[in-house]
Amino acid sequence: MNPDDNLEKLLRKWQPDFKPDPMLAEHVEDQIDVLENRRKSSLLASFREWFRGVTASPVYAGGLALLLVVAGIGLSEIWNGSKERSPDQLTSIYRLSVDPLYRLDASANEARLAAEAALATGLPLDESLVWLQEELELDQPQYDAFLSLHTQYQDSFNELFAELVSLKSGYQKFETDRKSDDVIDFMALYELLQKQKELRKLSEDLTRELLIKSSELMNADQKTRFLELYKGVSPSLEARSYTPINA
Amino acid sequence: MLDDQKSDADLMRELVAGRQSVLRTLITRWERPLFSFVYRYIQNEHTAREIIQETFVRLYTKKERYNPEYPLSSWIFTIASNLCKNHARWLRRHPEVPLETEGDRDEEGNAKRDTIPSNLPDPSQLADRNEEIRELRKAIAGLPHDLKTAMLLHHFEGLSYKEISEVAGCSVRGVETRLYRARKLIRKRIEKTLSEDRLIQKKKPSPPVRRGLISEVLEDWAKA
Repeated sequence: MNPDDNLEKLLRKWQPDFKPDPMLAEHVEDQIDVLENRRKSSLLASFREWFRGVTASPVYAGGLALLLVVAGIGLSEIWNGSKERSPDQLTSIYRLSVDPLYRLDASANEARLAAEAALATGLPLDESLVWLQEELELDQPQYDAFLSLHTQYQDSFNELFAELVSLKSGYQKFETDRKSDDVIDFMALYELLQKQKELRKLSEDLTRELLIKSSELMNADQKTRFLELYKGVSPSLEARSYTPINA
Repeated sequence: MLDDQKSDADLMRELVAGRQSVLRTLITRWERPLFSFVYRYIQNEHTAREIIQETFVRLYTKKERYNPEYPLSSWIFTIASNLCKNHARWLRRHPEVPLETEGDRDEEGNAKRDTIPSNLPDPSQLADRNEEIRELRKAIAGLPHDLKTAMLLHHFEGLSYKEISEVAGCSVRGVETRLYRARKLIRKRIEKTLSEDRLIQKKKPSPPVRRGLISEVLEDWAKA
């Protein structure tokens, strides 16, 4: 008998018992309610906290008006149609979508950080992928796989970015407390830095994994162009972690 | 038309339009296939049920992202397999340990007290005495995520290569390669373990036959 037939036979024998969970639907609905309530309250709370922080300082208060104008222009640029966006902008959007560390670095100050966080779940990734499809001449099956691959990673990237942002805020709070109390909790600092290191590593690994998997969908020429494109906008990541395989 | 008779795509459209009650129909329809996949991936019933619950929560919270041109199976298994992968990654970073010391174990090494739920087989699994199935489970548990997902979706969920490629984010050719590699690894692991076990059985001397206590006493009396 073919060894594969034996394996098929064995696989068919493995039939775990299944009993439907009578409470599943209720648990799911409860969790959805909790999440929606938390989202509503946390969005409001974060905005209040951020706004209070910004307006508390005279320097920030003065800069707030300017910031709103700049942020308004920036957001409208991002949300406008792709025809009005330059390839550099689209590449940056792509990069923001697949590299939480870049997203964090791009958030140069607290206000930008809040703007980025608001964008975290709504970056027009699809649009930059469509642009990449044209740019790299991906055929439909290639593009479908490319899109599906990126969709799979989006939740993880957004979660990682949210964790990185919260860690950054934690560090800033630690610094503020240190300056006002003049006491350093070394254990807390150590834990914070360790967690930061761990998250940064995880983020780099995930981005790298996605880039490698994406490039595996392409032919040699597309792969080279894709990596060149990515390198052009992000030499830092390239130096930081990405070692292309078969490139 | 009753909700039960509607297609997945129609139900998802209604969910996006704000009819939350159709979520229950989707849960009834997809709980079994999800359990079949997630349980075989995680091999722990409690965790599998948690992941299934989270899968439905994400299906609801990310409903706008679903593209009705693709089968729901691809999307729902993508969510579930990502959650399984995250869980496996989390387990590697946070290995679970029993809440006990050396003295808390009996002579055979079994825990005397309760332990933190771990990824070890639950009692229903322990009851499974089929050696080959046990080895098969171990072999599947040891596969890398990509191979395991392709293997489970193909063999147990009956997804086409195209659907698996959408879940796995690779080409159809890539799915074929993954299945080939997964089968090869499983066969290799099962054959190795079973042959080692047989070797140990052969080498182990059979225990001496112990006579009954009464016979021993009677014999001693006779000698006396």
